[in-house]
Amino acid sequence: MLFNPVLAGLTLRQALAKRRWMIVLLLAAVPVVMATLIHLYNTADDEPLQIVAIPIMTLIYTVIVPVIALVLASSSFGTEIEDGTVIYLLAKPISRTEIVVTKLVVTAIICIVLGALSMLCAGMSLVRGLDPTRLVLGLTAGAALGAFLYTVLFLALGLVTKRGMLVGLTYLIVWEGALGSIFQGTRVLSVRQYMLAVADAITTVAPEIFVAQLPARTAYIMSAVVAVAVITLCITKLRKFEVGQTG
Amino acid sequence: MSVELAHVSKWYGNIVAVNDVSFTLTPGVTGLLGPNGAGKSTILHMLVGLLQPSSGTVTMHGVSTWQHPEIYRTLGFVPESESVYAFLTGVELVRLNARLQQLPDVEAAVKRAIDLVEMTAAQDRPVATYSKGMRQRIKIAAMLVHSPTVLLLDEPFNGMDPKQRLQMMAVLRRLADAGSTVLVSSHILEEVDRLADTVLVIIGGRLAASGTSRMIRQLMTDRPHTFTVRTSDDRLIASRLVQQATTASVEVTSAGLSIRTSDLGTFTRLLPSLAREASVSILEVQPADESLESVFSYLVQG
Repeated sequence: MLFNPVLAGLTLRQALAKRRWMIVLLLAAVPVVMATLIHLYNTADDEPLQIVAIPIMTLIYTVIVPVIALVLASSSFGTEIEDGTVIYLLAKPISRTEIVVTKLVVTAIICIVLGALSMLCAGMSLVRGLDPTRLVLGLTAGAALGAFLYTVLFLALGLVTKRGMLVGLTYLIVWEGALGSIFQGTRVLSVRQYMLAVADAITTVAPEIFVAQLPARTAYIMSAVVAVAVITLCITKLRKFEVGQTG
Repeated sequence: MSVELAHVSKWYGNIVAVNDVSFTLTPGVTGLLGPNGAGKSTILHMLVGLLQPSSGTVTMHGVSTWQHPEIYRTLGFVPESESVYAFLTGVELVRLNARLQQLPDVEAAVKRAIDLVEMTAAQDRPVATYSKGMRQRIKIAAMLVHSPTVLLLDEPFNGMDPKQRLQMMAVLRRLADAGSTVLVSSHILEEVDRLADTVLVIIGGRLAASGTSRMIRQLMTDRPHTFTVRTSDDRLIASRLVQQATTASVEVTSAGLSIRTSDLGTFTRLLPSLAREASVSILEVQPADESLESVFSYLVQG
């Protein structure tokens, strides 16, 4: 068995404990509130709403989705290892694969639901429903993929380093942010670019409004490769995990 | 039905935490005695398979404990760290562990475990509100909810008051009498002495002595003792003491006499009578450093 319902319940409680549920809900709500305000004060003569949707999408893709995943996933193993409660989990007749998969599934579902809903609600509010160019649908699919991949990455960080949150933030700001906009090569290894590529593959909106820099095919393949590699790393790492030892 | 350590060592870089330790645990209570930092926790963590030995093997019923999670069906481990899922109530914590163990009758097992540690009255309070001793007991309930045949406890009496300590000793005794293998680590001789059938003394990562608790106690009291004595005439008393067979050495220092004796009982009777005969007043008698460490260090040399 790969999924443990009892552990899933525990993971859910841990993920949302310590007011984390408030932080992630607030994060998800910010773009929706912004979109609603734009919607209210925008008249028909202004720019097409698809164009307005792009900055909101940028906010969700670069901040909201990764930060929600960072808050929930890096603490999934991170806090348990830090406070020692991980022993209660490890000293149980449960395979390490089952532990990793269950924690990942639960955390990923919360992140995907929040990230995708935030994008869907904000997008629908801006373009007044689902537009014929499928821009909102595309962006929502991209957000969902991103939420999943970031969860995988940050869950692994919690297992390999005590400073998961810090390393995660550095990756987002330095690698995906700064380096991603300077060097073309880093885009093949950037979750943000995979999200954009998936959105672009679904929408038919004009390239002047929105275009991704990575072919969809590359994004799909790379997403699968990254996910499988990092999940395997997590399982191996947990199997070799020694009490009192991280990194 | 045993747990066996065979030539187990653990090192971190250049630091040797555990050095070539071998022993076999059998049903009954075994005490793992040693000063803080002696390597007790490291040995326990290797026993429960949460730490990989650098060399040697740890097996339970013939199966290596490292990377074999199925052993936890019959093995229970109570860690020293106080932290538990603090957002749960006591009964929820025990129930969670029972469900993670996939027990057939969760509620019956939970009730039995909580009754055993006498925590029924407080079981519905959040663990965060418990005292140290209560946390320790609910942790034990959580880790023996699946009735393990082997139960390992790291410093279980820490933070308990004397009454709770006695209760817990009774619980562990009952488990051992029912045929379980129980290992308790402690740095306090009296705790282990009262509870354990067998005592393993760990010092500096090595197994310094092992035997029944009577043997260990004997070993510890039959060692040379050092006293600092101040009298009205130190040199006179010193000359009388040197003539006694039980006096190993006498040193005259500015703080008084430093006397080493091989027989504690005789010395304590002898000193007052010698003083009376010589008409010397004893101003102060103080045992020199009698910390557990000094007792242990004697054992290592011996």
